[in-house]
Amino acid sequence: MSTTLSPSIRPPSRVRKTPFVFRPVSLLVVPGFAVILLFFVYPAISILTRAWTHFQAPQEGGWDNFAWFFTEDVNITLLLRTFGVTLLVTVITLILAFPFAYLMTLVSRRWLVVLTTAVMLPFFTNYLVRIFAWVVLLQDNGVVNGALSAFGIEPFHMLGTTFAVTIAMAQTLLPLMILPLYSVLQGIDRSLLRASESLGASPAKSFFRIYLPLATPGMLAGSVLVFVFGLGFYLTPAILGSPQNALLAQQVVTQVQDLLAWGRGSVLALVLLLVTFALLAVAMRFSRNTVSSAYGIR
Amino acid sequence: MSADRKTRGAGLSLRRLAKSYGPVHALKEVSLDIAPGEFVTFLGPSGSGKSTTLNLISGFQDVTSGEILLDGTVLQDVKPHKRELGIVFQNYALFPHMTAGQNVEYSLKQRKIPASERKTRVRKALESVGLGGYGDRYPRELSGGQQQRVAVARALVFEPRVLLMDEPLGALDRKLRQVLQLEIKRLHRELGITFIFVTHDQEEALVMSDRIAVFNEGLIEQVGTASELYENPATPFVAEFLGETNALKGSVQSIGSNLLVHGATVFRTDGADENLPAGPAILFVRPEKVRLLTEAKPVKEHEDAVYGVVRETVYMGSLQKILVTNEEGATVTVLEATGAPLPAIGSRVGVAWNINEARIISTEQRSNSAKNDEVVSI
Repeated sequence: MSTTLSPSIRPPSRVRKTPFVFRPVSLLVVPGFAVILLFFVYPAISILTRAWTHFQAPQEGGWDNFAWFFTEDVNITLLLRTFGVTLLVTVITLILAFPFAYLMTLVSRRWLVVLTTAVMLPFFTNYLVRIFAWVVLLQDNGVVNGALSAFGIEPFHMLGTTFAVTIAMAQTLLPLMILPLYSVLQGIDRSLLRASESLGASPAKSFFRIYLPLATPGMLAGSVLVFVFGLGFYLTPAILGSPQNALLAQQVVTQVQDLLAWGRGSVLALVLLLVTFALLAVAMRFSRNTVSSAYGIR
Repeated sequence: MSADRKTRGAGLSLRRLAKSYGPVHALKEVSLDIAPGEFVTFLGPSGSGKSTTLNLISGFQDVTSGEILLDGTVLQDVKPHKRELGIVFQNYALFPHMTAGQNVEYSLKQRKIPASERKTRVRKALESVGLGGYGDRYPRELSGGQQQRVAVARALVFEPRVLLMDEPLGALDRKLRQVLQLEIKRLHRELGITFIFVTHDQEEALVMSDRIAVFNEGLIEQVGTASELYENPATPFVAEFLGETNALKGSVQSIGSNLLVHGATVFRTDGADENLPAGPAILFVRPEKVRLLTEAKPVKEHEDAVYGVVRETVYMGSLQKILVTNEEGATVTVLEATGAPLPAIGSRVGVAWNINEARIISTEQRSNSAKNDEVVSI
């Protein structure tokens, strides 16, 4: 064919960044910054530095608190358990959130409001109330066991187990998975699925080849949120779990509150923080690749 | 369309096809036979049922009643991904996470065609739309026109026998649209497959199609070649939707009279509309068939004329337009080649046309027999 590309065929222009210009209105950020510096950055640094300044015998100085962390087997066990439980919670929320968020993209505006409210309602409920609601549900003569016995199933012990902690955490963190996932799913053009079918792919194949790859940025964003928040959970494992299957945050509280071992508490928090950062860095790198390929950006 | 052309296209028949959503009849009843290798355009305003018809053919909506036949076999029970129809979507629907080449390759992968053959066919398909070296680009990195070409290549690479296009040029600027119209025509000529093209742009329909089906309110008003529709519209809607026209309202006094009474004037036609029913009717005459009367060129024997006041004159480059309003308040537009002096606004003039060029259409006349037993929709 005659390949005379007309002048209007040219690559789309990029958005140019405007350079920052100082204006008096910029000063409005000062109070916010001040609050963060005074009430977050300063205390955080002051607590974390105690890892090198506060010692409990037999630790004496320097990096002794770090040595303590790695020589106490219980710390490693807690760290691994914390990551294990949080990972499980992330997977569960992802599995629960995907169909829900998908449904949200299909329903009418009115049903969308209903579904969004259903997601947000737990957020408006007091955190402790929600945990105690789980106690009511899961205790030995609680609602769940009551329902099971109605079907002739033997009641079993749930309160104080990792199972109870996991499902309560999953319930609490579910909105953090659904919302970012929904925001990505609702941006996926459904005519892409039609296009895929018109090209000979079955609906199931179209879902896995087209929809799922485009949904990955949302799944990653939700997973990172749930995982990072989940690592720091204290009240849920403290109330619904038991000391035998405690998570790392409980150990921080034990060390600081019960033993006044500030240095050890700081080390625990530091290790958790650093490992979290490391995992986030990996996730970010991974997500940058998937996001860019999902949207054809280089 | 011609029988001598070696066609690889499939014939498509719509038999009393209808689609309703609850009480709403999106498509009331449509029958149409499309010949193998024909280029048919579905033309109509939005909500006229043209896109619904296309969606029924492609299988993305379920047929309420009637039949779709592809080369004589019933199509509506076949799942969309088994219909083997090439589709170009309105927004192109290119997969954003795949390069142009991967987009084109997708259908070949579904058909388990070996990699070496896939590569050759993808390259050829992209070359055929003028995007030879663009296989590695992502859709984001392509302009609208280039994306449209990729969409066409993707829909054609698996050699479907019918290509459906849903307003494929709607998002492009006018110049580019004209270039692509001709390219799509060329592809149709080269491939010999059946093309069904949906548009609301009458100019596009006139340029591209073998035949045009004019849709309105869930029915086909008229089917015919571009010149048939333009010169011999069957309904007022077709006359007004295709091209510019002058409409003079009036009434036919007795059956078969061929005379339209418009205020104090009576208009004639050449007798082509013999069976006009009595009652309200409209006389249509194209602006380019109307001339301005001058002292040197007064009304002739076979002409009808309207007298009025010049309301507006427009210079349009190669053409100029004069709008004349008569005492009944009707406006007649005259379209003529530039050069003749434009009359002053407010001056009294006469305009005339050859009675062969005028057409009287009863406003009660229904072109489509289906309209008579049409269900009143909400």
